[in-house]
Amino acid sequence: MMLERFFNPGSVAVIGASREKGKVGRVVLENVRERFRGAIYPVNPGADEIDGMRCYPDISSTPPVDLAIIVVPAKIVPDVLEECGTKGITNVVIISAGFREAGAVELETRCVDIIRRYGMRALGPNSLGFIDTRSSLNASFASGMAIEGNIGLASQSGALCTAILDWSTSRGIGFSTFISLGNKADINENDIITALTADEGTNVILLYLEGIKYGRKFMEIAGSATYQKPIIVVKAGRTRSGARAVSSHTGTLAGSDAAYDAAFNQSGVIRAESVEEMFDYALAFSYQKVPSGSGVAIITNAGGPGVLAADTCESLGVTITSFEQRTIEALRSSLPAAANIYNPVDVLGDARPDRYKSAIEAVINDDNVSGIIVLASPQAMTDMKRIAEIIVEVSHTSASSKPILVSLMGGELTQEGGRILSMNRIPNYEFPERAARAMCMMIRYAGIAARTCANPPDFDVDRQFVKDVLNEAKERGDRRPGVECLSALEKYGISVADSAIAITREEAVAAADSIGYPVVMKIMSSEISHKTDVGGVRTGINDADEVRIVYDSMMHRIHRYVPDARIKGVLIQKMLEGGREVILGMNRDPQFGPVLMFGLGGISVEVLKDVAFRIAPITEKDADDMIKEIRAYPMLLGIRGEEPSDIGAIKETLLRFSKFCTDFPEITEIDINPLLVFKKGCAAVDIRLTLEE
Amino acid sequence: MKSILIGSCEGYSGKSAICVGIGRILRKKGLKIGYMKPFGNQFREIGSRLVDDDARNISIALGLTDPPETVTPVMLTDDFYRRALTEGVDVKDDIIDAYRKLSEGKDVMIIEGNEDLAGGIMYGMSDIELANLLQTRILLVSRYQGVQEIDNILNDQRMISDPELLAGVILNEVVDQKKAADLALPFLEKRGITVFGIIPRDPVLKSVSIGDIADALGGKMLIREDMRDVLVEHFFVGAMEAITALRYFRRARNFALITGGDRADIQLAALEAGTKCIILTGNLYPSSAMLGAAEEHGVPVMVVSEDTMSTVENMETIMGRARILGKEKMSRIEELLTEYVDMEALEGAIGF
Repeated sequence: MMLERFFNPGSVAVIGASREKGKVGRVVLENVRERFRGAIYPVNPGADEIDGMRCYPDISSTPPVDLAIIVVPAKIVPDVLEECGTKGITNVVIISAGFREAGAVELETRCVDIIRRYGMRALGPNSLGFIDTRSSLNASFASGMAIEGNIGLASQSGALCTAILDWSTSRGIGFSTFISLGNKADINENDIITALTADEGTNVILLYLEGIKYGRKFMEIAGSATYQKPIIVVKAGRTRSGARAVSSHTGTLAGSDAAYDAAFNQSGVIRAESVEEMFDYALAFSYQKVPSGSGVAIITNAGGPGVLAADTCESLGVTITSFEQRTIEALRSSLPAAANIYNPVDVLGDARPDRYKSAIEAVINDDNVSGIIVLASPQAMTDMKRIAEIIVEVSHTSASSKPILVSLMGGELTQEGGRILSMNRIPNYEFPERAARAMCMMIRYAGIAARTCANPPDFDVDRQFVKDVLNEAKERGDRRPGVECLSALEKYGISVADSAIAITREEAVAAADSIGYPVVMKIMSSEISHKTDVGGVRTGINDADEVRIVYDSMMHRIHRYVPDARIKGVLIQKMLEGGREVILGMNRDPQFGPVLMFGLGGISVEVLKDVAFRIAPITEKDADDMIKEIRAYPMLLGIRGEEPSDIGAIKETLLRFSKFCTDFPEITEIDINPLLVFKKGCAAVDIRLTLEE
Repeated sequence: MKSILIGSCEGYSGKSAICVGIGRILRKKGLKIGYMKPFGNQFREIGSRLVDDDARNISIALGLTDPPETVTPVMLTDDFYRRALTEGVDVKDDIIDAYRKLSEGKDVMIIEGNEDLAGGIMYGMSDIELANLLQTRILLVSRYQGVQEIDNILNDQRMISDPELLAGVILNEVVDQKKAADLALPFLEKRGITVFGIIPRDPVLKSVSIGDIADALGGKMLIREDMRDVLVEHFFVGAMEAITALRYFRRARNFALITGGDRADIQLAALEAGTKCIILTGNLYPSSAMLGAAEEHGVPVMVVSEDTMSTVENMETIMGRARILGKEKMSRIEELLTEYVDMEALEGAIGF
């Protein structure tokens, strides 16, 4: 059910309104009353009136109510909800605390049951409430009303809400809706994204989250919302949270945060590292238009700040564009000879405001420029106030809607200028890097909004075969099957090295003879996680006699070093020469499902942790991005005279692997390590999976 | 030509060391010594052949040059067992052939038996059958940890059944020598079993110091250099997951762990299980948390540059040599035999 009415009710009841000043029940009532123009009904069985308002003994005796704010002790919340439901109230805010967050899980579950039974929507419990500036409703116990604006914010931390509210008011930052999510028993981030996306008064959605309740749903909702407006998230808890023990490479590398990163990335959500960064970005989106291209121009009155801003842009993959000829000529004619007329434009330390004016005017009409960063450091001749006015003037008179972000650096000297910019909805940052980062995020978002929507490709596969292989493993109580699953990959169209399983020495010889030498021999045992460490892998076996010796020696070693290991046999595999080792992995995240991993094999993965993650199923673009995202990507293109690897084959394998992982939820981890990639084609050489218990 | 088969009640009793010791003592007396270990169970690939590493080392220690496949004509491979249990195997001729070659021109043949006396019954060649085949007597080596060991000796005596076949017993690695002399010796003699000697447990013989390991592997010790003299008797390879590994660790003592530097789980498990030393391969350094834990347990950690498998191979050599080939060890074995074993009686039993 949509939440439109929730934030814009005609009448509000405060259940648990209090006569006692300073109590939450009283603060909420006063907050509602301060600006709200609709009907207000305080409910309190022990009072006839509160501060001149008529008070109702219970919710059933009030006139019809659109929104009920519940501020009663936790243990009677279920009864109150029941009454609200009976009365037909559909929207409630539960401010009361003492539920799941205090260990009272059962009490919260009871509330949810009632809410569901009556088809109500509820914010909280343990919520600060919400503020909506359009309906002038402060349905919270936060002190003070938010300024009206176009930022929609939802936070899982109430304490952070009050701090942000106070801070933003002092900076003149305005909100459309300001929501404290509380325990998210009913309304969660997904509902909020849906509501704020539909809300025309909201330009940018900010979320402070500690966790996401329904990961897949989140990706779906945020994925479509970000076509319309930017979503910026601060996700706390970067450290590993999922307690499940992992035993694969992928599992070790894919903490739950990697899953969040991948989920945000794939749904177009911008992740900010801190609340400060979130507001740096929010201000840009709130005040300025999203750029239409990706070229940035920097105008500065000093070299250092210009370089800092340029470095930041470059490090985030945003180009400091070159100018068109006419721009360079315009700059040359209006700036002194010593000025730098190429990007970053340096108007020099003695620049008066008019130099800024002509520089901005020249640059803003350049077709290569999509956004402008103006920097000013306070030098002897610098008139910060006037520079601010000029920026405002140009931005108002110019026909262009290119975003302008400013950094007037300093404190005392820049205050007045900053105020002028702020009043005119031009973001001003204390230092150039912050302005540059914000500009980069706007450019990133422009790409997000313009991305094409694609579905993961489908393939013709033999699902039943794989099912049988997995069931067989389960039946023998084997939770960590290995190379015997290569055939399963093959049925998903992933090419694997030619191989056969042998139980005896003579079978091994026969297998090797039919595959053709040289061959590789691998021990098959689920107890042995690191085969090579105990001599469980031998390469370059050239004839039948060698197969026999290697077989004898391998069995001896295994018995000796891993005496209890159950040996399923050996795998005889065609020895593939050349080729680059890459690793494909999957770790199933409890929230988001299969998290795919890609990286170059060996040191690259183990030491440098140079890997890319995406959540399956992935699209062709995701597969492309994964491959290009790793730092070692140039190695795949071929360096130092090496042949390039077949990137198309890796991509196809990733897509098929994605389907494999999606189709079998009983697999919790997979490492395909290595997948050998050749100039043409690739082949999986080893695999290890973990099945759920 | 004389001969003696050296057998034992259980594996790892010290047969190899006693073979070397007796051989060297007799050689010093001017006798020509031959050595055979018919059944190989310590495999090592040398060139493109599978040889028994222990037998090879003993041959070298005794100054012999017989080819390994003659010294050890039968290798107890997985495949050998499979054939023994399915189609059946007959090893008699191979053994007799090899024995004939090895004993040519020798005064005494020392034959090292199966892992234990009963070993080989399934393919018709236990030590008893072997002794009958080669017409020799059996000298039992017992790793005597306490009086319970007497049951094993008596059981072996019963199995041998022909009193002529059993030459006698040496009690090896004895912790409480006096008690063994007071209780076990008179009891066994009363049961008709000659006790040639009671050899005390000798720490030098079966173990290597951490410092020697570090030197031999070229390892860099990261912490607890002060523990260089601590002795290690076995090693484990961390090729399995921590939970499985813990099961092995708990059964052993005085062990070292060889594993990759990035495998913190198994390193911590080994620390918990009381490892004496951790050897990290592939030049991968451990986390500081792991080092802290090791420091706390007083366990030295060393890093080596080679991968796990090569390190294991090197370690095998170090430990194998340690058992037999080291100069110090060889003279120590001779010392122990001379001091604690009635060599004259033993020689008499061999037939001199």
